[in-house]
Order: sequence, then structure tokens, then C-alpha cells
Amino acid sequence: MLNDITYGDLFLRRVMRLFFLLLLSLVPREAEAQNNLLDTQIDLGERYEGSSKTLIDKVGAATGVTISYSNKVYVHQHVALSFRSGTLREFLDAIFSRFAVEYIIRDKKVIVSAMATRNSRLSGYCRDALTGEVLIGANVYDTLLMAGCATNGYGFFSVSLPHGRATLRASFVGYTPELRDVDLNSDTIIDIRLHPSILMKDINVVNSHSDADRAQMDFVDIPIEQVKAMPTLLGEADIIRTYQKTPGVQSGEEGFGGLSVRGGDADQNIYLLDDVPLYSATHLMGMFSVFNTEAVNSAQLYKGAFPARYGGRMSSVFDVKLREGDMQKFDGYANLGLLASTIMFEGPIVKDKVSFITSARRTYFDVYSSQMQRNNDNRYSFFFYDISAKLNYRVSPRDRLYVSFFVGKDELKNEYNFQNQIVTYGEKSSRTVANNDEQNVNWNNLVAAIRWNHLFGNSLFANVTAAYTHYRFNYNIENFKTLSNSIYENNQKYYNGITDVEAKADFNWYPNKLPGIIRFGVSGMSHLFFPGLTISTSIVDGEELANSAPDEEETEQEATAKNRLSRYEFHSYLEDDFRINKFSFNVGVHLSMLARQNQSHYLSVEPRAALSYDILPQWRVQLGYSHASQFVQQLRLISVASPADMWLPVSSQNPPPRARQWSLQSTIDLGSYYSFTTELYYKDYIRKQTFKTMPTSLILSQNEWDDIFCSGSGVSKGLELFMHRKAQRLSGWIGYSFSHSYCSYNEINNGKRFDADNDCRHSVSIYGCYKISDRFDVSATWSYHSGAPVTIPDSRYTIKDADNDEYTFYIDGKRNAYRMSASHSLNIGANYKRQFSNTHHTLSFGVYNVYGRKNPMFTYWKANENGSYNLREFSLIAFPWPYVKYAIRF
Amino acid sequence: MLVSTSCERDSVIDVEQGVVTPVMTAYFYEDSSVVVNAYSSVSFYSSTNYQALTNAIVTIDKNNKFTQMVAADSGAIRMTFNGLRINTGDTITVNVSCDEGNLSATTVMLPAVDFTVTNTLNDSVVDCVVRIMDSNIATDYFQLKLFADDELVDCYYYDDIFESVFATSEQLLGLFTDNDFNSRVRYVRFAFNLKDALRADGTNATLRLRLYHHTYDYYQYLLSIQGAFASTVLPVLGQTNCYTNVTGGYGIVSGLSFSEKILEIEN
Repeated sequence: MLNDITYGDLFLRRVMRLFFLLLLSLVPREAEAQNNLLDTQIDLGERYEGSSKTLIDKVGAATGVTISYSNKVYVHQHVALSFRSGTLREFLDAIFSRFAVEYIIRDKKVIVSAMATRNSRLSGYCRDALTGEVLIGANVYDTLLMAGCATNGYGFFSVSLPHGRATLRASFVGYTPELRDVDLNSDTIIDIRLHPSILMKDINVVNSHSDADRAQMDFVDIPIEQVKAMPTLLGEADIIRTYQKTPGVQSGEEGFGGLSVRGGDADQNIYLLDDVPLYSATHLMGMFSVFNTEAVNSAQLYKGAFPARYGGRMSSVFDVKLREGDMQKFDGYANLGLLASTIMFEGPIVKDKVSFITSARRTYFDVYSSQMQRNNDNRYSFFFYDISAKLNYRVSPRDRLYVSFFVGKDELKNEYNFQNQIVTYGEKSSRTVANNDEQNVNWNNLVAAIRWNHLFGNSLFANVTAAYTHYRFNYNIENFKTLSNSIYENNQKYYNGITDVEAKADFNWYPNKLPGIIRFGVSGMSHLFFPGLTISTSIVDGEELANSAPDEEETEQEATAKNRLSRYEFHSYLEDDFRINKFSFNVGVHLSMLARQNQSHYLSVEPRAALSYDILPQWRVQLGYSHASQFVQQLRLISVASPADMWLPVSSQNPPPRARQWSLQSTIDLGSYYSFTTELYYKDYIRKQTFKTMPTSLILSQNEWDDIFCSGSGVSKGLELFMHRKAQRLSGWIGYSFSHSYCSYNEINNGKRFDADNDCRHSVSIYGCYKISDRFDVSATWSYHSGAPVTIPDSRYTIKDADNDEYTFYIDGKRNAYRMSASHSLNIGANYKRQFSNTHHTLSFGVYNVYGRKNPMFTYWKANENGSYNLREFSLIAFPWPYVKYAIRF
Repeated sequence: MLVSTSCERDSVIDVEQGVVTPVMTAYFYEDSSVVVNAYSSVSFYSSTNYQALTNAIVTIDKNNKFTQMVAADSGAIRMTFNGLRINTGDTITVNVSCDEGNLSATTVMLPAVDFTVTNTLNDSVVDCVVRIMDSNIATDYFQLKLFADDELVDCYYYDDIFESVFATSEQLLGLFTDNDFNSRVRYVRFAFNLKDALRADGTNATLRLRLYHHTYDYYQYLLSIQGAFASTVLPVLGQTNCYTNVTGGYGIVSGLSFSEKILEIEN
């Protein structure tokens, strides 16, 4: 009933309709208004280039809009716009281009919010562009996000980055840094090639540490090229001698005495050659190292707070990696020096697939001496050699296989003939004898290893190794005596040594959802110790003499088997490298176990931690703690370290020693080329082992050595200062250390504390190398060490035995109560280089011990003919030693 | 090259006088008088090798019974015990008390071990074979020495049983143990030049072959002499210690027993 609807109702409905229409019209206008905010036109008047922060302020001021964002989506960066005007959205996209963001509008505020991002993993290898050699410790990082890592021991890196374009910067000392843009939308494997720098101007090669290694402290890494440039004894570039010139690292005089790191003993250092332990790292009792610098890729020394992946020793880890060989072309190198010659060949077997490298070095003292002693009845000769070889096979982009081999030997021979006669017997060759003694002392190392690298997915790098290492010391005496027509031949053979077989697996995991690197691994090692065995045989006229019970006579193999000791050593570790804001961490734990047949086992849990804090980008403070123990030790048989020193396991009477070290380090990068490091450390030992007294016989059987050890405690503490300049033209360092090492044993020195054998109170080393031109460089080193502690006999007594023969014996005074004279020396050298077609020639010359400093090696009481005694100091290299060496690279 | 560039010089280290330590040596032969030497260590700057002890009294106990005592006169180093006879099996303890300290050492008089010897003359060389029968399972320590008219003969101990054929110390020659022939017979061989058995006038010297049966202590003492010898030749080796069985000081006290045969060279 239409008449029932009043005009009032109609009006009301119209008003309501209009109201809703009005509301509806407002809604799209509101959204449109928000979109219009982002579409606001901005004209800066000129193209902007500058800080992103300033640009945000400008844009906000131009639009009257407040722009809010979190650190998750912002990185302070330099921005160079290609446009001067555009919408607000275009300006915001340019500032936040690296992130997946969305813009939320609230009134006059724009909130930049992160969208759920996707990351992918960028992995690969960093190599030398010319040779294909991997670069260990190269930095690879995203320049915008400052996220990256250092390449591992096989040149591998892996970093997780958000999708989009990443600008990578790869750098390594001695190489031109490379920038590369990578569009990352999925897991990607790339190969980065760096070119060696040939520019003569100083290049900024700052210690730009990436995330993974900022926490690492007590770590010394000297480039191999710097090692080769340093003037050394007889011109032989020597890695160990170079590191001895850094704070906290000493040796005995001219290398005798082994390496001492922060007061530790020589057997507390582990030398790893491509991850395989090497038991004797020197030739000629410490004067030269076994590492041929032409075959070495890198050598790094951890002086204390070494990360959890290392174990087995308490003082230091010397990690040497051999080169892999040029994958592109054949190269060769040869040098001729006063002491030794070296040759090296490398090249591809299959280009970019399989390469090899082999090197050899030999001295020729024996050649000189045989000529000089031609007419002597008493003749000495000495030589050493080492040979290394490595095969590198890139099976696939994810698999690599390495086979490496090393052998080194030293031999000292003495022949003594008198009353020469020609005698033949049986079918054996004639021999010039009447009385002929031949003594032969030799020691040798052998290492063989096979390694497989595999990349699981893109974030798990594995290295599996099987290795064999072997050290022997041999002392052989042959005596031929002709009595009437019979030839009596006596042979005595003594040897000691150690043989290891090892299998290990190491993993580097770069997790996508966690920052940093997680490392873990396991290893098992079988030790066979040969503590000292003497085998004697007597031969008359070519027939071996039998005693009354020949069937009970032991063969040499049986005697060897009876006298050897076997032990099994197991290690595992877990280590995490990560960064949170300005803090970097390296934390982990290393587990070691020694298993013995039918005896109790030893287990050691060794926590390790290092923390780094960036006070400023150029100033980093680090704190470290390490706990380490070892299950093998070396028994020193004479007053200085010698190759005859026996490797022995710890026993039930002498449980494993343990060391703990705390370190505090500050590193400042001064300008572009300098770094200045200050470090304090404190190290304590328990169950540190040594002799109660020196053994009464130079040759001990396995039944005797265990009784002469005793255990005690020790402390080593010090301050190290190190200023290092790494640059192309002028490089070098100045180092100083102040340290004090002492120990105490109940059985020694009446239980009173005494300075440790390796205590060196003050040590200074200065090294400089200046490249005058691309053909000529000069270098010099000067080092100083406080006098070494020495125990000097302070009284003597004489015994007349039953046959009325008199012998004088000495009584030791207080242990290490005296100091020998301080040691210092100056060495200078120069290299002159020329290139002719494809060959590079280098002439090196210099002087070792320029001012003829008579540095003492040991002291002793000398008995004079009139019965009096004088205390004497013996110096080994008391005069300047010039050297000259010629090398050719082709 | 290293030898040519090495050198020595006097050290400037001023070594303090060490603690004076008493030393004692005594050797006992069967059925012979006993002599004990007691003295002290000396400084390296001293002009003498032997320094008398102060107020020293030496006592010898045989088989745990007090036997004799001698008070050393001022300056005396050597003390003789007359009327004291030692027999096989005796245990002898020597004590020295003095202002410098107290010394004590015990030894035993071991029985002599019998042997037979045969020899063959090959041109100018005499090859000898000694037959020894070891009668117990304990380790015994022996030494063979040949004397020509009381002069020690330079023998060639080429049998592999000998401790060290190449010893630089004469005292070490001819030493061996019975480790490889316990409770059995062993033939031990050595040789010497015939000329060493002749006197200057060409007549035959009296050759006495002795087989010493040493105590463990004296054997170890002889081995330690080798180390002392080596360090005088190569000082870098460092001083090795002299073996001692004397508590409170240094020295060696030992019974010395031996059996002897006259060696007749055939033809």
C-alpha cells in the first residue's frame, strides 16, 4: 500500500543511499591516496651520489614523509643514482635494492619492512689465474653485506647470500683483488682467478679479515715469497728459520735445540705436511728445515690458542701445505748454491684436470770432502736430500684426489783405514782392509698420503685422508780387521724411530640457517715406537758366527718385533666459527684418546675458545683459551736436541702432560700497510716431563727409558709486540718479546723452581726487504736473544778404578742457574733478477753473520795438559758466511 | 765447513764453588787386604784432584757384623784394613762418617766362574775359544782380559756377545753378560796378535787369561765410563753421570772376583 510509505521514509532511504555511496567513494580514494604517496614525484635537481643515509634524509625532506626501516633491510653504503628525479618508490627501490622489502604506508610515514627472503649458497675455489694453484686463506666477501669467508686449506670457500645481484671481492696478499658481480638465484659454484700483482707501487694489502677468521689469534702467516726473499744461512730459503724471527718463537743456537714456541719444548710442536704429521722437520740437527720452499704453497704457525681441529701437541702447530702443480703449462725451476741445489718441475698431465709437481734438493758437502780428503786415512762425509712429489686430480667439480709423497735423509759417514792391504775372501768383492772402521749415522723421514675432497651439496666440504709417516734414526758401525789371512767383520746396528698409519676425515659445514662455519672430524692413528734396538753380528771370512744355541738365536725381525711398542691414538673435534655483530667467535672442543693393549687408556677433553671484538674497524681485541695435551714425547739423549732423540709414548708411570694457555691480543691496522699486534699470554703445564738425570749410556733399551723420566709443573708467560708492514715495495717487521718460563720437579734441583731450558727473557727481531726496482731487491735481518740458561758443573771428582786408571766426573750445579752470553747477528742479502725470453734468472748473494758474532752454542769445562780447567764457550758459526746462489725459472 | 768457522773462547761466567761431596772407592779381592779410598770432590779451579775428608772414620762390616774401623789421619785418603780377609759369598758394607757427610755402600763377593780355553794359531794370529758354563738363572756380568806378563793385551773381541766392540774406553773391552746363555754353555771367541805375546827379547811372555765375574754395580760403572769418555771427545754430548752404588756421595765399591788360566799357545 503505497500510501503507507511516507515521503519521510523515501527521504531517509535516499539519505542512507547517498551516505553509503559517499562512503564507497571515500574508500578507493583513501587507497589511491596511499599509492599516490609512493608515486610522489621528487626532483633532487641533480643526480645524487653519496651516502645512502643522506639520500634517505633528502627524500624524506622533499616529500615531507618519514621513512622508517630496520637494520635488517638497511646497509650503509655509497649510492650513485642514474636519475635525478623520479617517484618516491623509485628512490626507495634504489636505496633498498639489496633486500626484498615492502612499503607500508601509515599516514605520512613509510615503513620499509623486510619480506621473507631467500638465500642461496655461493661456493667455489679461489686460484692463481696463471697456474691454477689454489690460494689458501684468500678473502672472499660480498662488498655490500660484508659477509664472506676465507678459503680453507684446499682453496674452497662457501657463503650464504640473499637472492639478487651480489658484488664479490676476492683478495689475497701478492695478488690484484678482483671484483665480480654474480646474479644469485640458486646455489652456485664458481671459480675465482686472481692475478699476481706486477705493479711496483705499494699496494694496499690490508689484513682484511673476513668473518671466519677474525676470532683466530696466536696465528702467524708469512707469505712464501717473503720467506724466499729473506737472507739466510748459505742462501737456502728456510721456512722454519723465518718463523724463528717472529716473537715467541726461538730455537737453540743456529737451529740446534729444536723449535721452542713460548717456552715450550721441541717435542711440543707438531709439523703437518699436507695434514700428515712429520716427526723430524729439520736437516743437519736443526740448521735447515726439510721444507723446500719451491714446493710449498703456504706455511702457517699457530703459537697458542689453536682451534679445536688441531691436537696432539701442546705448544704449536706448524701447518705446511704443498703446492698442487700448474694446471695450465709446464714450469721448471733450478738453483745452484754453495750448499745445495734444487730442482722443481710441475705441469699438467691433462690440462685443467690432472697436474703434478715434484721437487728435489741435495747438498754436496760429501763431494767437496771426498776430494779434499782423498789421501787421508780418516775421511768424513755428510749430505742430506729431500724429495717431494704430488699429483692433483680434479675428478669432477665436486671431487678432487691428491696423492703426495715426501722423503728426506741426512747421512754422516766416517771411514777410518790404516795399514791398507788388498784381501779377498770367498766370492765376495775384494776390500781394502787391514783395520777399517766405517761409521754411518743417518736419519730419515718418509711421508705418503692420499686425500679425497668432496663437496656434499653446496655446503658440506669433506676431506678424507689416509697417510703413512715414518721416522728412523740409524747408527751403523762396521769394523773389518784382517788378522793373518782372515777377515773379521763386526757389525753393530742401532736404530730407533716411529711409524704411524693414520686415517682421518675432516668436514667444513657452511650451514644455511646459521652464520659462520662448523668444522668437525675424526681421526685414528696407529703408532709403532722403536725405542732403541742394537743388533750385533760377527762374520769371519764371510760366514756369520754362531753361538752355542743357534736355534735360539733371534733374527733381526724377531728382535725388532719384540722391542717395539704399539699404541693407538684417536681424535675428534667440533668447532664453530661465527660472528654476532661486532663479536667473532671460534669455540670448540677437541677429544683425544690413547689406547694401549692390556692397559688403561688415557682420555683428554680439550676445550678451545677464541673471542674477537671490533672496537673499531681497524682495532680488534681478542681473548683466547686453549687446553691441550699430548701422548707422545721425545727423549733427548745429549745436551742439545739431536736426531737420535727417541720418540716414546707416555706410560703408566708418566701420564700425559697437559697445558692450558690464556691469551689477550690487540691488533690495530695502522693506515693501509701496517698492523700492530700486542699480546699477553700465560701458559701453565702439569705433568711436564723430563729426565731425572741424563742417562748413563747414550743408547737405552726400552726397559730403561721409563725409569728415568719424572713429571713436574711449569709456567710460561710473556708479552709480545709485533709491527708488520705488508706491501709490495717495502715490507718487513719489528718484533719484541719479553717472556719468562720456569718449572719445578720434585726430583730435580731439590724440588726448587728453576728457569726452563727454553727460557728466553728478551728477544728482538727486525726484518726489512726493499724492492729498489723490479730487478733488484735488498733485505736484512737482525735478531737478538738473551743468553740461554745453562747448567754448569760446579765441582768434580776423580775415581781410580781397580786397574789404577783415573777418570774424572763432574757434579752439576743448580739447574739452569747460569746464562750464556746473549746471541745476536746481522744478515744481509740481495737478489738481482733478469728475464730473457721465457726464462727468469735470479742471482742471490749476501752475508750471514755480517759482524762475525760468536754466539755461544754450549759451554764446557776444558781440561788442560797441566791438569787445570777452563770454562769455555763454543760457537758454531763464528765468522761471516758469504753466499751466492743462481736460480733459473723456465 | 762448520768446523772451519767454529771457535771457542773463555766464558765470562763466574761459577760458584759447589757443595763439597764425599767420594769413596773400595775394591775387594778374595783373600787379600782391603783398601778404601775416601776423599771429597773439588772445585774446577782446584789444583788437586783429591781432597781429604775432615774427621773421617771408616768402618767395614762383613756379613752384617762389625769388623774393623779405621780413623783417617789428617790428610789421609787411602786407608788399609790389615788382617781383614774377604771370602766368596761375604757381604761387605763400608761406611764413612765425616764432617762432609756420611757414605755407605754394600757389595758382595761373588764366586769365580770357571772356564776352559782352547786356542789355534793361524799364521800370526791366535784365535781363542773360551767355554763357559753358566750355572744359575740370574744375570751374571763378565769380562775377559788377557795379560802378558801383567800387561794388558790388546785383543780383538769380535764375538757378538761382547758389550761393545768399538768402545773407546779400554775398560769396556771384553765385557759381556750371560743373557743369551743362562744356565747353559757358551763359547766366546776372541783373537790377538802373536807378537803381543812375545817379550822384547823375543821370548814368550806368560799369558794369563782372566774371566772376571763382576757385580752389577761394577758393570754399570764400567758402562758409565764410556759416556764420560765420549763427552771429553765431543763436549756437545754433555756430561753423563758416573754410576754409583754409594749412598750419600759418589764412588764405587765392589768385590772383584775372577778365575784365571795360563794360556799356552799351541806350536
